[in-house]
Amino acid sequence: MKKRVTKKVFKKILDSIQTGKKRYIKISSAHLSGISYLNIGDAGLEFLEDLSRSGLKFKVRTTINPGCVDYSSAIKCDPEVVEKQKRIIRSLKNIGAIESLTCTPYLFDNPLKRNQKIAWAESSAALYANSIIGASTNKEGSLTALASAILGYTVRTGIHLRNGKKPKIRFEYEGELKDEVDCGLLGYVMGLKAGTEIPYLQIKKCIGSILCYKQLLAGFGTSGSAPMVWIENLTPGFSRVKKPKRKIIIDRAELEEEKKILSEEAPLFHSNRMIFVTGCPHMSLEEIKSFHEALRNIEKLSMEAWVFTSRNVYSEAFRRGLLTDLFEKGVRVFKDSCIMHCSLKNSGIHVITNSVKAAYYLRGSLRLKTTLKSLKELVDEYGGK
Amino acid sequence: MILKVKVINTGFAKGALLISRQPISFFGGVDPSTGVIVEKNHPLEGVNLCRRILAVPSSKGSTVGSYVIYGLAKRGVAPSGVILGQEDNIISAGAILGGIPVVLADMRKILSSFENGETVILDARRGRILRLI
Repeated sequence: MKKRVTKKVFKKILDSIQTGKKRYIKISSAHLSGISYLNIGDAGLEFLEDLSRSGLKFKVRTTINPGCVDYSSAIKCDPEVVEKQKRIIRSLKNIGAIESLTCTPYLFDNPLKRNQKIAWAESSAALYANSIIGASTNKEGSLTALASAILGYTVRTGIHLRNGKKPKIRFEYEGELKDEVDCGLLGYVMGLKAGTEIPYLQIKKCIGSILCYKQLLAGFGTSGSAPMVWIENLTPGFSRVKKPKRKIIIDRAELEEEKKILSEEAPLFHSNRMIFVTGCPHMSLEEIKSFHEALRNIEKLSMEAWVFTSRNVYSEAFRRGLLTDLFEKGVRVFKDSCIMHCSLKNSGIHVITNSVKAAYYLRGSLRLKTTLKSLKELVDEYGGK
Repeated sequence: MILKVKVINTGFAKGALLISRQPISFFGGVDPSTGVIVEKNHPLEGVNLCRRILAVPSSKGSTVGSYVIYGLAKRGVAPSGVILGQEDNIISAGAILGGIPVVLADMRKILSSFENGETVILDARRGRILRLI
């Protein structure tokens, strides 16, 4: 078939997700998923190259998710994968994408304001945009976000409707959240229970760090399909929202139950290669700073640790000398890529991570064994003396 | 026999009806160069989708399935038309990219009105499926 990719095709894609009368809403920013060659393969590469040849351009500021390769890293990947990942990124740049290669575009590359209407794929970023910043996006798929980026508008459904942000279910968590792993697990359990409904969350003992909420939302996006969580005392405008009557209490035992499925005992001896992986979603500068701080009194970790972040945060952390210190302690820092890294495929490596989302996908897609541990546990157990 | 259906992507197609009672995963479950279903233990394992009118309840698995359908269409080995049992963004988006007509129908009605393998016309302009006489 010698059909060119046209605007009409993208309009049809948007229309196909909306039944009844077609209504649209202008957007001012887009973020695309489906960038990694490991994920979209030859079929996706072929489509993006065709699109890039069509002459169509993105109409709004458009950033992209990480790929699966960090070109500057010493950890090498299959040359074919490296080449094809390059071609995917080149095509997207041709269409006008910003080479952000991060799942946290809200930090630098694609900053948002409250009430901004956007079309973002990448569930953890969409949830962050809605729940922490107060912007509005549905949880877009790779192709609907791409269509919106080309057209400059999206369909007025879901969260863009008049009462689209209204919470329908209230969650109360009474237990303790001792670290970011607990936060991720709570989000994951909420996602399983909420399904498509937007929840309102009340936590008795609120832990202040934004890392916790980042993990909570990433966990929620992994198991649920709602585009946002109202977090009491945090989400902009929470005090004006009517709290839903329907209430579900979540307790510690439910978190432990899900943990058993996503996490197994780490092998005592390094019979298989084991690495610690963090930065899913990508670490912010503040998170790198606090990790750096936690390792202050440690000479070298007894296990290799991998940190994933965006190229912007990477350069800034490098400039401040943080990365050099981390390298010395056995920590590799990656940019432009994520935990679904080219070198982990078929590697048989046992991965220890503080991200529930990472554990879920490493087990499901890369068939690796995983253990959930917080950064603090990493330092305590593998910090040596 | 004429069955009224809802149009998702317009166009006309003619071909032998292939009814799948199970969802199909296009990414990983279909050979992207030939259109043959390769998913282990799928009831249609080994069957070629090429130029068939595929009736399927929905897709399953990765959203990358859309790109696979696009690739099949470019190589001329995609189904000529698709009848969906329920709304499915992955198949719809892929078929729209590849220029394949798609309709939405009640799968039970498809099963009771048509025989697997018979030639049908998919009129995804006026929204109907006809048995070829």
